[in-house]
Amino acid sequence: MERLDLLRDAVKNLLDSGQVDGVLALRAAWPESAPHLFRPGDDVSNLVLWPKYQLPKILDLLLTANPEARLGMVTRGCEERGLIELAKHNQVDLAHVTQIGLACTAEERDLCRCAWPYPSRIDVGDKVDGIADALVADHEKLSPEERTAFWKQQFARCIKCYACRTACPQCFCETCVLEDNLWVQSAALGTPFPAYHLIRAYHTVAKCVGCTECERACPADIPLTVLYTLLRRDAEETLGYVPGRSVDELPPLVVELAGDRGG
Amino acid sequence: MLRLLLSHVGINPDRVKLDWVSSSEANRFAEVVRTFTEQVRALGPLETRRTA
Repeated sequence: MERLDLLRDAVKNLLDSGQVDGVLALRAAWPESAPHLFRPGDDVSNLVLWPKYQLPKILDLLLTANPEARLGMVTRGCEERGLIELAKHNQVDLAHVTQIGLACTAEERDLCRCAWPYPSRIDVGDKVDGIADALVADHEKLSPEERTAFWKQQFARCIKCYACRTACPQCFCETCVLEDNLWVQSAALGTPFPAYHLIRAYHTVAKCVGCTECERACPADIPLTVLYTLLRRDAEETLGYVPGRSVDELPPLVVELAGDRGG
Repeated sequence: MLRLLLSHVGINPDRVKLDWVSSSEANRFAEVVRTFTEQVRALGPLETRRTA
């Protein structure tokens, strides 16, 4: 059977089992796909796989509005890691979520330049190994002056639509520093110093799981994940932390008061 | 981590310094600020306004 048919069966079985109130997945919609909560008894024949979407963010919204809901979700590797980071930051209660693990195909991996295209438990699909991001390798060959020129050119195209921030599953702060005029001047484009992008990059450290949703959302095609991938590598080298790897590893940059833990 | 971020976008990380000085160490505070000011001045202005 095709991967899509297997996934539809898996979603239908979970819905029929009575364990969940609904399953979050993608369905065919203009122009290609849109998130949809399949309810028990729903027809799953319009369930689709691609293009992927920021499903962890949608799940967060659903659970915030319905804290008692028990939800299923089709999770790719990046989406499982996204959920794990959200859970560690008290945004999502994983006890309410049943995951159907979906391994990405080689084509999907290549589109995302993904180093980790499979979840910890694969229910549907076959595991393919991750690849190193060629754009990151190219970037590392640049001199400091070339890097300045490269990012200056990229950030000059930014129209400050905030799509990267809005699409990011890990951007869940109720008050966002990027909307504070003290740091990021509103309604000003092409500012000499790329404060918006550097602050956002800094805030992704030890949270970004490399789902590429920011880059996919960007109308100016700025290769944002190159910067975030470099920082993710730095976080692993300096802090030993890989976002989304395990729900048991504490986020290294979260400050706790002594004795605050446990409780 | 901030220094690493700056190096990725081609800004010399020596333009940033984090140090700890007690409120009772006035001389040390002056020394740290003086040294760092000289260090940044030696690097010159950050030419962010130059057109690409």
